[in-house]
Amino acid sequence: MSVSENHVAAVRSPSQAVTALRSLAIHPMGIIGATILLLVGLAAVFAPMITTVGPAEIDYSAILQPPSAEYVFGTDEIGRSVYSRTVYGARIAFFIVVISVGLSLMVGTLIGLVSGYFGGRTDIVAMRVMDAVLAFPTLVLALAIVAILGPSLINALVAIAVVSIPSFARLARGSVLVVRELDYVRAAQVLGASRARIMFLHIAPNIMPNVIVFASLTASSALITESGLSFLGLGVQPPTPSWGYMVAIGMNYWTSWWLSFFPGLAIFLTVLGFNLFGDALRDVLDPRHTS
Amino acid sequence: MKRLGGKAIQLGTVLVLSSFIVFAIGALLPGDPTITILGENATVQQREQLRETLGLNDPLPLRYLRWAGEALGGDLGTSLRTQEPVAAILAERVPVTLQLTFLSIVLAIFAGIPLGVIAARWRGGAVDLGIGILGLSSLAVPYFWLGILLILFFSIRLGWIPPSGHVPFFEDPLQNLRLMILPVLTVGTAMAALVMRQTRTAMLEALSQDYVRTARAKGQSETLTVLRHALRNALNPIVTVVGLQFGTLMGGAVVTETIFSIPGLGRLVVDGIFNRDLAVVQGAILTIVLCVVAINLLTDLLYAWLDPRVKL
Repeated sequence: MSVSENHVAAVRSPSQAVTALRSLAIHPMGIIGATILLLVGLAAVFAPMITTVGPAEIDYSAILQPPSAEYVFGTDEIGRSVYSRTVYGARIAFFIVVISVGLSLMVGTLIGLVSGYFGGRTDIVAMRVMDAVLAFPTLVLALAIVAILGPSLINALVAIAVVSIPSFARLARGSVLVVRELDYVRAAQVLGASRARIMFLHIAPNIMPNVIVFASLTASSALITESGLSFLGLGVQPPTPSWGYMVAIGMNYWTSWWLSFFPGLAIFLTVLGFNLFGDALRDVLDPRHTS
Repeated sequence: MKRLGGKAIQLGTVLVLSSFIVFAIGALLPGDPTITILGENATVQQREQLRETLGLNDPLPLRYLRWAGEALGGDLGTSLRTQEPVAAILAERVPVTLQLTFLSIVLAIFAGIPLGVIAARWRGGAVDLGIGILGLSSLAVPYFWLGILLILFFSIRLGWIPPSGHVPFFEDPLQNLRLMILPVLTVGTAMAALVMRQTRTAMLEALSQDYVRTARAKGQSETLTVLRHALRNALNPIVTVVGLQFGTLMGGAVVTETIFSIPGLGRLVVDGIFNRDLAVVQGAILTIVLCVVAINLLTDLLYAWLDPRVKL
């Protein structure tokens, strides 16, 4: 969660990258995290194969049924399989997380690169704007954006991307400040390389390890924000199965605990997976962080 | 002092910029306030006249200046729905959310610090591992799911605490605190986990320092060494975590207040968005941002006070 602005990871040559991958493989927490993510990912991809009924299929003879052999996670208020909906929900969750984190990574890193490399007024203005956005609690700002754009999958995606931009910008800027003083950047400047060339070809690749570590940690907060929006009814709209919305439905039927329990468990495990994987990645790519 | 001045300018800029954002949120929210006020049946002329009176036809910069000027004077407009002044609504709602967040911080500190100290003192043992797993899980639990699990268990299954509702503190303090138990657990657990992790890291760092070795060497009791020497020096990073996470806490309050039907700021934002009540949404978000900025400033001051080496 903390943004380590001054820690620039030390992956410079392919051999070091290989070493990093190897140490990730023996990082127990990282393995658990990666396994969880892999399982959820596989469930998303092979959803039709591991479910017997579709997520929208209604069985009027089985309304609000507790978990049984036929419906392992029970059924919801109109007789749909909670298991099928939870499995299909993984698709929505991964889709939103990957796209929104990707978007904020690109925009945020670009802002950070420009801000850190140019410095001066550009830097001050950009960073104050980022500070102003950071003063808004993530969910509150996301709520406001969705309220303006209207609740839908795409708008939730945009809102989640926007709220994560400042953190990426600050992280990238902090890393750029360190990297731009390195000799090889100076050398490129002396050789007359253009600013754009130095920024994108010399500095950007070197701050990427930091950015990628941060992205895997941001993925968990993106998922929490997404499910929070859906929970409040402002995210992905029904009947699309979304974990947050499914949890909210359970609040109307308190005696049917399975309605909230299983989709919530899916969010919990996926967030845990992202956190464990991200922590491990940070330990591996940034030797100064090794515990 | 010079840094304090710089800090003030920086804060001021952030406040002005965030007020732009808050205003923009209000100005961009879809929906026609004249329909909310006059109803569906008003004529076009009536609507137009009201737009003119409300100043909705003026250019945006002018509207911003008018809004910001009035906000500075404590006038945040009136709710389109209830016709009450927004400032009056906020005065009712803010204490509720502040109580929720304050109690959550208290929980986080009183659970997180001891657990962190224990984990660090017996590093690598079974207790450390257990606390670590508890922390990881607490950080991954979404607020709304935890809230619902707590209701399912303590209210539905055991029937100990009513699942929702709110009584003002000064009306019935005991009932108020009883109803606050589950919401505070919901909001405070993740924060407690963060405080625990930070305490553990800071304590491990502090326990490896020379002054701790000296204290032990001169025969001071272990408890005193850990608490007075190590913990005293580990406090700073803990304060920072609590301060910086205040925004997250406010976000957590939004969903938590919705689950437990607590009439606080968060609930006000959500309801305001669904009701298209512009002034209410703007006022509530502005208040939340002010709280976050104020707490950040307070964190900096507390940090400097705790660590004499840091000068403002």
